[in-house]
Amino acid sequence: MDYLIHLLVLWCIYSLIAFGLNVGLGYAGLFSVAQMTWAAVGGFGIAILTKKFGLDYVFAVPIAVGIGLCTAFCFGWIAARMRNEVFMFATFALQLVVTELLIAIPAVSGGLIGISGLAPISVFGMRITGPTAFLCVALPAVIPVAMLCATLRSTRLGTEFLAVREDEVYAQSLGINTSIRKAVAFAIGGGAAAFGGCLLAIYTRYVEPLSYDIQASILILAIVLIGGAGQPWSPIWGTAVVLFLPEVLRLLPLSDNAFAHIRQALFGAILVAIMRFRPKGISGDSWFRSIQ
Amino acid sequence: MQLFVDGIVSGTVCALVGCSFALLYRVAGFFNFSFGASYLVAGYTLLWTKSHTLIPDWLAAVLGIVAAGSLTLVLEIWLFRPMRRIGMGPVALFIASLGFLFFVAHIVGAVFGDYPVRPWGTWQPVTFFPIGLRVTTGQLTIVVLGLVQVILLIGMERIRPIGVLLRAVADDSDLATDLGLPVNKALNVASLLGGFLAGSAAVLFTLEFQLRPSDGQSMLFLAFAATVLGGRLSFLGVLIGGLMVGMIRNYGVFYFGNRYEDLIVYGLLLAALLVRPAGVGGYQSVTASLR
Repeated sequence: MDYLIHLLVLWCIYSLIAFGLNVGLGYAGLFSVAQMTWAAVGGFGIAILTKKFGLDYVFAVPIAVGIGLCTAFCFGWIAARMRNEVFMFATFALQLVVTELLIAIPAVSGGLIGISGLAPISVFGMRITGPTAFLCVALPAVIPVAMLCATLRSTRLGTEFLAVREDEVYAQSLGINTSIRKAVAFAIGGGAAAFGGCLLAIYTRYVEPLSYDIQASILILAIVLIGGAGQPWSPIWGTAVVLFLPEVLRLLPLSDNAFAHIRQALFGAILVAIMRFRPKGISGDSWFRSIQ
Repeated sequence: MQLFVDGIVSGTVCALVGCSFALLYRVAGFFNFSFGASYLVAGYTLLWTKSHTLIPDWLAAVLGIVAAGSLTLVLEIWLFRPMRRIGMGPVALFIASLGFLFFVAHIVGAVFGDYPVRPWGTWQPVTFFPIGLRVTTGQLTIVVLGLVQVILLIGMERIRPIGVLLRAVADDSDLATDLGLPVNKALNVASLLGGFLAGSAAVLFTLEFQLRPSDGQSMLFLAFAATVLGGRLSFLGVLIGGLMVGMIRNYGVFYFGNRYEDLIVYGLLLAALLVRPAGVGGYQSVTASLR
């Protein structure tokens, strides 16, 4: 039962990060394979702020999310002039750089081992430790952010994102500053991911660079593509598929190492299959027109 | 000087994989990361045939390379061509190939285990010592065979009919279709050749280094960096980019310690992409890349 609750918590956190990517990729058409970079900014941000500077979570989480927003905005703004494909290469390089950087500077990030022993959060004097209690705290925090990301699509800003995705030159001719729109979409995605990274770090109470590497970013990308990029609520379904489908594998007699490998291989296979047979994803949108 | 030699050796392998990227990027217009899968398939086919059968070593190596080439060919026909037919762009093809790479890398990891292997066993190569340098036979073979392949590739561009066909499709694939040129054949040939190159890179790599399931990704990322730094299109540029990556890694380890070897390469790649999205080689016109 505890394991089921644990999966539900992960469902919350991963869909939050994927909601962020859905704003950048689904609405504004920015193909990013570096979503976990901003989760790492959030996770390592609060780990460093609370462990090294002794800040409380009340201050550490907003600061970490703020750093995520700002860095994502800067990167999005610099990279906005690239076309789709080169933008993706840049995020790819960024992801590799950030992972290597976190491993290479143990003084800040703890190296490969990461930082462990984060304090559990306390709400009204109660220490939140188990998954059940954490779920009760995480849900009220996740739902507003997810709703913000999802309802953004029907606002004016969201419509402008869609215009940028569908035809950048045409959007420019309508007077939309596409660079700023791209940067804003990327920043919203980065902020949501940073918040998700904070929650993940608080929940597991440790951070390590390898849980934010390129494979994790591809996993988030797979979540969004499976759910159907551009559909406001699709990350929920995508995360459900990615989290619960591999659990079927537990029925097979596999060693831990083999299980981990087969699980990752399954993600790869799902990604190939979804691109080949149903590029719209489960819920379906005409997103793939934007990548022609 | 020893660093220089080691840099050239690992850079040549990197450049070989990079050339397979550049070959397919020119013809098909996307980065095919499934070459990482062919790389692994070649390496582990060699390992398996050497340890489980009695066929001679050179035949095992050829078998590995053929397996790698057929894998990319099959992928081109069964995966990428149908996707292209329904109008999917380079980004979608890239993501599919990336998914396939993870699929193969983790299947290999599950079957053969994570630990590094040496397909050539305890084979100790002869060592040369010209002017105070240590050059092993394995290193010499890698550099000579690697450079020969790149030169052959550059020479092949000028040979009729296949090199000219590849160039025609690379320059303007729509025009080539309108002229009735066999575009699909060109794609098949490019995939096959690319698979051979990636496979032979893996076989050469195992002469001197250990093979690991994660190599499919790490070598691929380095080759990706080499290709982008080399301008993405010209084989000579990719060769220079690959040698550069090899040098940077070796000198980086020497001056900064081994934690930073990949960081410097990736950092350079990121900087190059941010500052000059058109590529350092400058082969593409700037307007084309900025759209």
